[in-house]
Amino acid sequence: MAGVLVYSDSSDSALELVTLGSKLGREVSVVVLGSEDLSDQTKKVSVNGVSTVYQISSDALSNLLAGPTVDALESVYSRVSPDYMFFSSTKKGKELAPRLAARLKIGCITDAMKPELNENGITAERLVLGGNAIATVASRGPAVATIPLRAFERASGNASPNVIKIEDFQPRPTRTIVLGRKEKQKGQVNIKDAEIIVSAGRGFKKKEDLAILEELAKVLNAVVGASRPLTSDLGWLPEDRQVGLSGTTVKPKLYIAVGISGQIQHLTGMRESKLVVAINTDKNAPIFQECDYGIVGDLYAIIPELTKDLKLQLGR
Amino acid sequence: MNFDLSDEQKLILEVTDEACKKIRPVENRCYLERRFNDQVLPVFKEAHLLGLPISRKYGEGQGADALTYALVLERVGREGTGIRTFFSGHVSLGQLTLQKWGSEEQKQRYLPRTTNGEMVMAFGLTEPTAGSDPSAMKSSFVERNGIYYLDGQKAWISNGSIADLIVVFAYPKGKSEGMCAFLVERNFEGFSSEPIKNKLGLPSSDTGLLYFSNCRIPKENLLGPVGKGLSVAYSALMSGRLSVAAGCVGVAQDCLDEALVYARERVQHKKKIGKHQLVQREIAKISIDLEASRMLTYKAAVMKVKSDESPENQDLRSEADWSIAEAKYHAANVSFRAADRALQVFGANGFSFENRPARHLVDTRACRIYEGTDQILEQKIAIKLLGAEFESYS
Amino acid sequence: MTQQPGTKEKKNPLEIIVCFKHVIDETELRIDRANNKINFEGAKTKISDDDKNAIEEAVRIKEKNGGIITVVCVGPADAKKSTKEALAMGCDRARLIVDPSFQDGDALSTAYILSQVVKKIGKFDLILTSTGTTDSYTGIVGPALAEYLDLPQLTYASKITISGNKLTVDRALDDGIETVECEIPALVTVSREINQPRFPTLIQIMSAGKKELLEWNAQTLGINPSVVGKADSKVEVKSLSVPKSARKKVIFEGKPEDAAKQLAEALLKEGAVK
Ligand SMILES: Cc1cc2nc3c(=O)[nH]c(=O)nc-3n(C[C@H](O)[C@H](O)[C@H](O)COP(=O)(O)OP(=O)(O)OC[C@H]3O[C@@H](n4cnc5c(N)ncnc54)[C@H](O)[C@@H]3O)c2cc1C
Ligand SMILES: Cc1cc2nc3c(=O)[nH]c(=O)nc-3n(C[C@H](O)[C@H](O)[C@H](O)COP(=O)(O)OP(=O)(O)OC[C@H]3O[C@@H](n4cnc5c(N)ncnc54)[C@H](O)[C@@H]3O)c2cc1C
Ligand SMILES: Cc1cc2nc3c(=O)[nH]c(=O)nc-3n(C[C@H](O)[C@H](O)[C@H](O)COP(=O)(O)OP(=O)(O)OC[C@H]3O[C@@H](n4cnc5c(N)ncnc54)[C@H](O)[C@@H]3O)c2cc1C
Repeated sequence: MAGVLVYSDSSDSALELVTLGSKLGREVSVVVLGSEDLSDQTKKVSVNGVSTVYQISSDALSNLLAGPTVDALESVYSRVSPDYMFFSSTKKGKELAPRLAARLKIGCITDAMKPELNENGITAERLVLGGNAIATVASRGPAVATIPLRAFERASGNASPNVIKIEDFQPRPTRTIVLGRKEKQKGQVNIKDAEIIVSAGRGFKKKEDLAILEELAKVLNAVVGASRPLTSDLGWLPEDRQVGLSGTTVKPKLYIAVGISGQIQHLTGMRESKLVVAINTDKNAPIFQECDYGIVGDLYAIIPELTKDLKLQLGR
Repeated sequence: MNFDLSDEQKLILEVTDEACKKIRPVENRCYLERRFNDQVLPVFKEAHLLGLPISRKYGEGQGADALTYALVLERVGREGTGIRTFFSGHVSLGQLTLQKWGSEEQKQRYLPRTTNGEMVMAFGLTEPTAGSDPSAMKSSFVERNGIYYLDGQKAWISNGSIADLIVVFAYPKGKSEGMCAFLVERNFEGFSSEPIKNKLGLPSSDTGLLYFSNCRIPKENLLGPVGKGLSVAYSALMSGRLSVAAGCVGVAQDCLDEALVYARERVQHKKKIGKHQLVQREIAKISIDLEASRMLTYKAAVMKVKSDESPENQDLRSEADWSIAEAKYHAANVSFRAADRALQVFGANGFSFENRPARHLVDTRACRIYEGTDQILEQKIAIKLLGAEFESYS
Repeated sequence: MTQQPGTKEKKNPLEIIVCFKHVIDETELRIDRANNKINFEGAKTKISDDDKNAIEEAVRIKEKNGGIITVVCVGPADAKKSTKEALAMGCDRARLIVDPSFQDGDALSTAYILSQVVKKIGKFDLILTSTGTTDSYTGIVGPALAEYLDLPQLTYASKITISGNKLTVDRALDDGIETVECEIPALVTVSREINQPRFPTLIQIMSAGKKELLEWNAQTLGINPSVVGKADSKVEVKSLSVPKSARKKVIFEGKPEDAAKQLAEALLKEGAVK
């Protein structure tokens, strides 16, 4: 029984993939790539369940561009011949997995939820048709898959896997160069890992009005998320706050949707929240079909009241 | 007649559909807050639909035939009669009338700016004392030194208080014949307007009162030949009525769609109400009415296409006029009944403006009044069959 | 791009290929939650949303740099309507690829077919795709096509500039924008934020019918049906189902201050706020 190979450009998400590999009862090998000393990264992924860490360090991998990265992964793959290779469903993961699969002539499943083994391949669920449907797909034989972030806990523990340095890596000539990089100004906000999210939608009439929601967020120690119109269309909030199909998938303990109608593309991104609250003037808004608690009413009247009440109750 | 849609018609309907989807949430909000929806113009401008049936010679004119234009208005009608009425005033009654009767110079001067939405048009015929009988109108003009001075008032004018350019009708002072049509710009001296309040429906769409007090109209803004005002008005009503018919077919379609959604979801007596046969009857009746109306309207549109292709042929014109009157009458009544039935399917929830059947019910009611009341059209249709000598009121 | 001797000054027009998928309009599907069914009957179809951004970008590049755009779709015969729409948006010619043996393949199969189409078209400088379709949304086709054609892949483009043989792309990544450069030919997948696709006018729609639209199939492409489609797929779709909701749906109406109070109490009781 061949094992599982995992790769992610972030060690944290690689650990989630390790958990998946162990769950499937397979021996897990991790690939770490870079242009410098890789011992830090290697240490981070040396956790229970990992049998081998493969390292490739090469100048060609300084920016982890798709071309040389796929070359590197191919060289590890051909050495290990695993049955399955897992990536995280990050933008990087999703551009590498298909190219590698095409090169290796094996199946590719992206955004694979609930991955499981079947007789001769891997079965998973995928959200399709804009979140309206779940497709169950299966590979015939070995496959590459990308796995949504935070679908699995991070593997932990201190272990001492074999570390194999691949020295003879020969990338193809590089054709793409990086001219520059502009980091996203994130502030401290990270909606992916937030425990409480209050999200704003088109029910807000202007950007300044978001202040009342910020106020509520402060009382709840929550972060402010948004529906797509407020991020990519109106630019009131940065795109990393967008919840939904084409934004971030979140699963906080509490999700409060304010002035959000609850179109399927939005629901897809917050469906796994533990508790969902909706505030909307339109009692027929689809969000009310997807909430635990809802208030039919004007957010401009309700949010300040709610903030006041919670402030009092929570003693803030 | 073959009503199979061409790929091109399907595509322009998709463009229309996208624009309609954009406007829907805005219209929801405006309707409930009972305020004018000022996004209709920009949204449909972006979709290049503001001059759809106007000749390509003029700005954004797209040269659509009457059937294609009717198909688009049917789709627009699903969003509500208010939005469709904007098109009727701006395009069907306004621009098409200007295109038919205007001089080349007038068309060059105005149509590029109306087709691209820079100027909104309206059509001012009705007055407080002259509705079904336009010949009773009191507005009058005098000519001095090559300038017309207009006095009077117009009421119930769609787009009236937002329009930049209005087709206005008046008699020479002291006469009740020789009616003339004019193109009045909103910034002409002596013109003013205000929106009508407390309407039964159409809260998000403008219906205005117009006032002319010694309003100064330059000579080059006379529309059509001197004394031919009534012909201008009647020709406009053909396009206008067809637009109403098409919009009403859309209304009935939306009532059907809404009723279907509701009947599939709502449970009473442990059953989806769609399983109750009396509810099924409401749905069947909407559907039968709708299909009949749609066929009448498409037929009327095809007749209009034919008549437009041979403008000199009076027989074709008269046939088209009659078909359009039938289609408009039928569709206006069908849409009203469909709204009533959909409302019934919704029960109490139908009795709220948060759901479209209630809005359709009050909004589409206007369609049995404007551009020829039910009674006027019934007589028009009958007289065509009986013969002109049976006309009761001319 | 090969430069012909003696024509050094005269630039060849940029040859752009843009790929789109003809999909079911997911916003108009009827979902029967009770019976866990999706009703596809009479469903409307469209150009996959973000593919319109790819088409729009091709047209903008052409408007700026000059060039010829070939639009390609592998799909059912009724994709002709969408193909005309792409032409109406400003593409110059179309290749519609229809063959029963191409149906129901996995994404790699589709990418392979597209690679053969590109080879038959011959000359090209730039291939544009989106990063994912609105129906099956795998995001596989772009990178896989780049692999089959041995092209550099510049993914998630939020800005594209071409100057001479140099292609510069801003990539909207998870943690920021990365600007990369390479020589054409290359494959770029565009992000939705790159532009706002235009509505074609009726005039453009009507004139699209006069542009070159060729239908190709397995035979014209010289593809052996046993290496594509369902026959050779390494991933297959087993079933479709409808996501379920099991929420409490407790709704408060009434005065804002009362409703807010009730909600605050409920949240405290749930232990959702601390
Ligand atoms: C391929 C694709 C991907 C997409 N990806 C995403 C995505 O990732 N995330 C996303 O969010 N969307 C996404 N969308 C867009 C999505 O379809 C919807 O358009 C969007 O979610 C709507 O945002 P909204 O609910 O804020 O706005 P609307 O649908 O306009 O809803 C506004 C709501 O506010 C309510 N409201 C108005 N005034 C008030 C008030 N005073 N008080 C309370 N309520 C009020 C209204 O009743 C309404 O329900 C995507 C679409 C497509 C086609
Ligand atoms: C929302 C709205 C928008 C409008 N937009 C415009 C516009 O853009 N431009 C414009 O010029 N006008 C417009 N109108 C006015 C509309 O065209 C008139 O209301 C219509 O022609 C009827 O005239 P009236 O209201 O004066 O009714 P009347 O003519 O006074 O009729 C009252 C009643 O008497 C009946 N009746 C009248 N004469 C006869 C007869 N001979 N035989 C039998 N019954 C008869 C009518 O059918 C009706 O039932 C609009 C009206 C509404 C409600
Ligand atoms: C429910 C469902 C689930 C599926 N899951 C998988 C899966 O997990 N793995 C897998 O390998 N296959 C899967 N498939 C098959 C796959 O959807 C098809 O092969 C499809 O042709 C390409 O995939 P896509 O729509 O995801 O395209 P994407 O890879 O998301 O498309 C990206 C871009 O490539 C271009 N493109 C894509 N398709 C075409 C086309 N037909 N013609 C022209 N250009 C095109 C467009 O520019 C498009 O925007 C699935 C199919 C279904 C119906």
